Amino acid sequence: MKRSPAAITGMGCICGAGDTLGDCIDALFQGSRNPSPPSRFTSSHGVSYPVFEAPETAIRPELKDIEHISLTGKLAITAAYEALANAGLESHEVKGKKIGVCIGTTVGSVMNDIAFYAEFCNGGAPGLEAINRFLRSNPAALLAKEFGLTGPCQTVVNACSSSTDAIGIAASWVQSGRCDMVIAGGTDELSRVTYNGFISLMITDETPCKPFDRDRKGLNLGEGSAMLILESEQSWGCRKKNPRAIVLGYGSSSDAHHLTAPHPNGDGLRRAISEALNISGASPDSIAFVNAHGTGTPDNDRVESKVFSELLPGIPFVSTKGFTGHTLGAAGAIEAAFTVACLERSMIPGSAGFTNPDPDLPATPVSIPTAVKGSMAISQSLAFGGCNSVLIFGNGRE
Amino acid sequence: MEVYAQGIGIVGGFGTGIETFSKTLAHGLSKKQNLTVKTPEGLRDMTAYLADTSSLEAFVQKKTLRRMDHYSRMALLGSYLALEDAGALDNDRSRLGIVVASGYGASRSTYAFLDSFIGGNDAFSSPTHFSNSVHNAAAANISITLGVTGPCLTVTQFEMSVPSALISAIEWLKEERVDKVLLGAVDEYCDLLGHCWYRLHGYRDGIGMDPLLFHEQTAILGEGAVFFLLSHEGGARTPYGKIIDVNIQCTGGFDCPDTHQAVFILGADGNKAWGHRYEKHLTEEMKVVAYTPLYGSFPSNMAFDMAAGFLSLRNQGLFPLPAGCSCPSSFNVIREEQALEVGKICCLKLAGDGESGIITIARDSSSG
Repeated sequence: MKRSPAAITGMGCICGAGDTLGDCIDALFQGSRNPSPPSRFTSSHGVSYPVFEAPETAIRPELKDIEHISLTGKLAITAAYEALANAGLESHEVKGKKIGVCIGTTVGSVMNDIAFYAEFCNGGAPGLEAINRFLRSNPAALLAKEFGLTGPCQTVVNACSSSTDAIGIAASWVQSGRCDMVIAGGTDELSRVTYNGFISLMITDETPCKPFDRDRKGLNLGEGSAMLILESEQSWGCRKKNPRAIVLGYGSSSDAHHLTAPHPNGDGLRRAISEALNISGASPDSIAFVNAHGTGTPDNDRVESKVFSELLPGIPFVSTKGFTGHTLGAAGAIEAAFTVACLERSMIPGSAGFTNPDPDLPATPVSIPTAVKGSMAISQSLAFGGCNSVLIFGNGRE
Repeated sequence: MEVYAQGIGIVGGFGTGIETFSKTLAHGLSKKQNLTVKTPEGLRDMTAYLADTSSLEAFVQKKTLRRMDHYSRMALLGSYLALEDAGALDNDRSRLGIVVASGYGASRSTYAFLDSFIGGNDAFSSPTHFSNSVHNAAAANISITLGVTGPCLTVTQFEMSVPSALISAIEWLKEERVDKVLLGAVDEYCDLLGHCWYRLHGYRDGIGMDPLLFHEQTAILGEGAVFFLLSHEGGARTPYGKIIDVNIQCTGGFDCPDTHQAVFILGADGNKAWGHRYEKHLTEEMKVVAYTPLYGSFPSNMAFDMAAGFLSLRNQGLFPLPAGCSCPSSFNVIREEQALEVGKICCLKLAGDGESGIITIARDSSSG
């Protein structure tokens, strides 16, 4: 069945690498990163594990004092306004339109307010503000209401692949004609809950993370949001707005192996890449580069390296998590935005934290900014639960 | 392309299995369990519709279930039952996808994880509880236990979780990304939910759910899971019929289908916060019914409405409004069991802040 492609006409991003997508890309190519101990919560771990906090000063001013919207929601709204502006759209132009919203998250889907829960456990009657905030901060519904959108609405909670899946799903809505435009992306805030969770799994590095490096010890958590405006050809054609990129393929598969560890042979990832390549009609050697999941955990990086060496030999790849930390449900969208921006430049940044090649890894990422050739690029995510999700973007100029 | 339901697996307060559910709908009575809720005034006895997953051991060895929480067990049981109902337990699962809808996710594991470090040391945080607390843990456990290697998706949209998830299941089948999809819904009760529920809505002893009394708060908490094996193949394997349309809106819009050609199974579940929206949108000629007093109030209960609708299509008969429920004279309510004379059933859920979801199902004319 011939399906019309979904174009990306606007992007926005806020995360530990910068206030806007432009700032983030500048930071990536300057090689600057700023992990630091968490500032919004304390923990009783003997070590303060570094995180990448998003700049709260960059959140839209009108949101700053609103208590009934979570930080996850505020990050999403901020990134969405940037994406709409980048697409040449003002909020009043989209109001009432059948525009879809598809957003990935993890923290944004859970009522895990520690103070509320602690008071409940102690027999108290905690104020219900935390509950109201949770109930009013479902990311997709929040954006639909913020902009008055009437299209389909979906919050994807596929752990760390959530927003890669959200973009793939949004593209399918455009391709099938379910709607002409979708705000797609991901958003997540840092939380003591996930901080403790990843530390408990012993996959957190107590120093700035080193994806694919011989001495890697795990991930650093981050937070942020990225939003993409996906449009049908008819929609962007009518608006005379040129696409920045095209979503050419989306592949997704399950490892059926383990709740938190990837399949050691990368079977699921291999199937997801193959599916995305097949749908896009791309051959492996036509891929300019890959933005890897590259968390810095021993298992993840080993699996990705193995699959790259076998399925995409010689294709340069990078992990950008050394600049952002692992932003969980937002990671796929942030990395998708970075992938498109890098594709436009025909250049990828070096992998922050990667210094010493690991002799056990058959493929290693670029360590310095590197020119790339080709008009297609891959962004991929691996997640708890064994989800593997892969997006292939084509340059919007071609 | 149309999407057909080949099997249904269900577990809730009423019991386990689609035939048990069918009998429950026919009799109009369900079971509630007693529980104790921590309230600002002290401990309080309440009732809720709680699910028992012990029959999962007929499908899965005990050791496999050892670290699996209640949330995942309900979902896994629903999945096995759906495959069994479709006669597909032994089929190849490489082209099977999983889509799970949940309003609140794995609540008990979420709070068990918080329990592991609150009041103590963060270093005591439990990796097992953390792993199980992730929203997609149920889908992951289904994938791992059943060996499903196709795509796996979990969606959370509170009351709109089910229609939202269904949109993706249908798209996957249309795209031929998969041959079949296990689409399911799961939500669980937990102590904190009981506490919040009590404080937000109160609780009245001895009052049953009365879903068509839109101005009264009569909701009773429930939990459970229901899974559907969906396929683009119709014919003899699809006794339940097909899904012909899904719509969801989050901002106040509501496109009502042709009211003369359909019966409406309302997702009204005794929450007066959005009960008035049903009253606003329902018209006198609409033939309506609600079955929520048989499984309770929880975000993804629209999937139970859908299961009831599919059973009505299979049986070519409508189940009556559950026993003891009020029947406002201003609406055309299904009060008694009756033949299904229209071609379509619309499951309609309206929720707060202008949210609406409609799933329209119909009999598969090719199934005989």
